[in-house]
Amino acid sequence: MNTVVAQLQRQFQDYLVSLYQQGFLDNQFTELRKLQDEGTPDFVAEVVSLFFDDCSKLINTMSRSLERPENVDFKQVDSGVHQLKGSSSSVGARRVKNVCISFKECCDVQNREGCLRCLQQVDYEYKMLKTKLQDLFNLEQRILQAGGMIPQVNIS
Amino acid sequence: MILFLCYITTGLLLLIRDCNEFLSFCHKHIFLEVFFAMAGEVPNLAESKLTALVVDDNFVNQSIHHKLLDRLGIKNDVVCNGQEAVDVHCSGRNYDLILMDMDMPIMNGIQATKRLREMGIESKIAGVTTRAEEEEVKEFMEAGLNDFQEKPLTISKLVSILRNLDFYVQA
Repeated sequence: MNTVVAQLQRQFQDYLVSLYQQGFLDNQFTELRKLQDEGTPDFVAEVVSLFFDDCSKLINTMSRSLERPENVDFKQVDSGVHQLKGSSSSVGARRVKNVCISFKECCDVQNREGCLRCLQQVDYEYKMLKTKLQDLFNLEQRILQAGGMIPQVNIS
Repeated sequence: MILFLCYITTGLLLLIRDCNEFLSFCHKHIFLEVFFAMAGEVPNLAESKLTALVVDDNFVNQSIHHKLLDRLGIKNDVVCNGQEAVDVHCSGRNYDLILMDMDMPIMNGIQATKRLREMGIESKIAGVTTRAEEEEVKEFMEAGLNDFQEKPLTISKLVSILRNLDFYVQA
């Protein structure tokens, strides 16, 4: 049993570190994990769930704003990008945040084609991160079910 | 003898008054271990008497800011925009600290801060926003902020706000 727990913990640690190394996450995710405690054991999962809901809604709104080439509401797109950049920054979703930076630049010069590319990219990145974090949370559950504790992982 | 007893009684009363003032001071301040902050630990303090209001339209930020304040033992409420912040004060509620976002629908942070100050609200207001251009920060500060922090908020940034606004004393 201890070997199983140790293996799962090692797997969790390696996976989490890889998410940072591949640029999916940054230090703000570490800050989120610090806030999780016995009283709110699902805090991180709940916050990232809110974030993914946010992503879905904002991407849909921006997609509608960019739909008709002759009538693009860049102000609304910019507002959506600003919101998304804020949320992604708050949860440590580094790749999503970086796409938002490019997205904002396209908005500023009213480049519809550039905005559409960024929209596609941000959609891809948030869905990729969602899958990765789901795998991470599943590993957490397996550790807990095996009677182990979630390891503190030092990301330098 | 009677004079002596009066003197002692007066002295005791003064001592009790000073103790009460000291305790009142303690209730409004958080004593933090510098060790915890420097070690990167999240200080999990006993509940303080401070109250705060989170003003932000984004659910992710609402959740995080609420939790950050909770972890420091600060009871807090959450509203979604500047208008709601004004309304909650009109209903008679008051807070020691307000964490005010800048960009919000209906009434933004700058408008809300100005309005609250016009109403005579003396709470400490800390602006928290992703916008960090000098002109934007200046405009926000001039609306009546006491402090400003760039998002995303962390425990150390929140502690910094509390320190800047004299809400805590180092142990």
